[in-house]
Amino acid sequence: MMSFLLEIKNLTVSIQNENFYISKGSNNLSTNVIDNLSLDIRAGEIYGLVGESGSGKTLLALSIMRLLSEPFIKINSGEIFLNGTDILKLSYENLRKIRGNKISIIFQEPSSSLNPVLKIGTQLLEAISPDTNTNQDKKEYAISLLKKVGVPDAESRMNYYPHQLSGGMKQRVMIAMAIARKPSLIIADEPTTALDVTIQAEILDLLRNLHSEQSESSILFITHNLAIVNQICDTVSVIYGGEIMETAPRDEFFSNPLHPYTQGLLNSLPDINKSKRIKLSPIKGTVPPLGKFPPGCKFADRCEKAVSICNKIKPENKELQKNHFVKCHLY
Amino acid sequence: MKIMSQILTSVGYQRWLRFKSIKRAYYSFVIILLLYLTSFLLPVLVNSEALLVKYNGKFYFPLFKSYKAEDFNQYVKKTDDSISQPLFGKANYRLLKKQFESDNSGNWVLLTLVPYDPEENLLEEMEGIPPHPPSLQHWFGTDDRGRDVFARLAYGFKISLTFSLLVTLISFIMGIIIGGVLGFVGGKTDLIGVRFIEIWSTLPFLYIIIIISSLIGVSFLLMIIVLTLFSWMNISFYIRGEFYREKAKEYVLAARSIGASKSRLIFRHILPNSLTPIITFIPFSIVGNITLLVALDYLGFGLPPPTPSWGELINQGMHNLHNWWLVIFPLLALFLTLLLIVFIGEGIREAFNPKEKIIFQ
Repeated sequence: MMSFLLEIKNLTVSIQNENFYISKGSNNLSTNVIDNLSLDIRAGEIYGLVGESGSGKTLLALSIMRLLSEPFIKINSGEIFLNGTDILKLSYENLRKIRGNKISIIFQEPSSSLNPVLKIGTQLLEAISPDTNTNQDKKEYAISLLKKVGVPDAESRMNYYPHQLSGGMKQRVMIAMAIARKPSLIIADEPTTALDVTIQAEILDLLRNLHSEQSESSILFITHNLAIVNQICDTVSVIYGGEIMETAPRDEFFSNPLHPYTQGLLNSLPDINKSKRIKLSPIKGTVPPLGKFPPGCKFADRCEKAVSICNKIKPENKELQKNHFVKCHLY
Repeated sequence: MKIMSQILTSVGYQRWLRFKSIKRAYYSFVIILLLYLTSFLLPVLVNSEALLVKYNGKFYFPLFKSYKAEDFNQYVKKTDDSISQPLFGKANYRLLKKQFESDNSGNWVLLTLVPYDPEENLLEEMEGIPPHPPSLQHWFGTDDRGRDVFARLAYGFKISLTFSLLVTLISFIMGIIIGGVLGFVGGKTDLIGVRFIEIWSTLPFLYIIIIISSLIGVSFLLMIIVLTLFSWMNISFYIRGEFYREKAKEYVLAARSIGASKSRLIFRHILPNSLTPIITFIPFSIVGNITLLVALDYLGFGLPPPTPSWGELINQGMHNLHNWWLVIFPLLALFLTLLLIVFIGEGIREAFNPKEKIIFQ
């Protein structure tokens, strides 16, 4: 049996409503944004998580790091195992030892993820393990990290402030910080969304190269861009309304999508081979606001293949083929 | 060389350059700084004690040791100029200088630039009834108790500025600590803390000062403590908001994601970023505190007499409107000081403004 690096079991995350302080204690004032979500990442794979805005992708990433802004957004139930230890049960001190060492995260917006008043070098040194090396070693290691992520003229860049670097360079620095302690899991939360397309490709190449160098570590790649998923991921999950709808190996996912939502997503992509006259076919409707999802399958009210049972009863997660899971009443 | 280039590219140095390029603010800063530094030399410049006395072949340094009148065999001449009586008590060096000059005995006295003490009345040496108008001896005249106005203004400048610098510094530190804790911890601590601050800020400050000054009397230290206790609230609100805003920013999240400790988050990441807007408040707070001290002194609830204070002089001017020097000089000194500091504040605000410079060139 294959061992899993990260196992998320029945995770539920909820947002408290505005009058949280006044009526504390009553549970109906919170809305679940991640709903009974389970997910397994194998050691060494690049795991793609695809979803629309507001589907709970980033909240999932923050839950794994336990960086949610509690008490307004909090984990209600579930377990997150990293190499067998439950992250959710760790004390603050032990959690700090895991952050950066075992899991690290690359954020979406490189410009705001770096402290504007500190130099790049200072922030990189911060990311390097505090107890191992002497200052000189640390500095050399920081420079080698910068070189590794493709920052030219690394020595002098150490003394730059974030505003003196371009977006792509800043994202490279963020990646350098994320890989500094060789974590076993890197969460990449839409790392290319804020960058333009050419830089996107470079950053993806970089991530792929880094991953091939450290093949035992995994990457959880969160994105809304199916093209990127196709380029670098081994396994793909689709998330909608805080639930995983379908999980499949990459090739299977693109050749044989089973869930209507996945099919809709893939159909709505423009195809360069087709004639220009063909209109894009988007999924009908919009994502409902939080708490307004149907009680059964969350996608039921937008689904073209919905039957009466879809609105009432939650579908089970079924393994239709090997490693291909779908949550749908159709199967 | 490397360190130099680091300094040259640092944000602080850029801001200093920008501040320097705003001439009005820069020169105001230089003037205030020089005046304030000079004010620490006041005992050598404005003092009734002489710098140096040569008497019977020996040198005396009255600045460091107090001498009695009989040490120099000083005497007082009565009006008819024939009888002279020995003087008792402290030596009076101005009179001693005249005495040595008329004796022509080779003894001499080196007086300070302005040989008057701010708390010393000159009724015995001057003719007529105080206040005396400006003259060569008394540049700004004397007040209604016969004390030299220039000496009082000079010492008053030092006291006002020191006082308001201390109040500003301590109240800012207090506000930053309290606001920072509330903003970082948040939750119930914040809820209760802010209610407490709101209640605290509604306490009528002036009445409390009046009650305290009538109960136990005021001193320089007590005034600083009381004023500090009543002026940290605004800063704490501001810092609290800044902390709330900064701690939710992604770079703090990123720092947390690599396992930064709480103290590191606060002191390394959040505090430096929330401090920038606060720094621009400092000069205006100094101006406010000078004005406050002058107002309290004017009302008579300020520093205890005979401390040289501007408010007390302004009060005298108010009661002696026909003695123009008591009105003009204290007000002018106050006005110029406040103006210069406001210019500095303007410059700092401009230098910290991340957007391009628009005015004040």
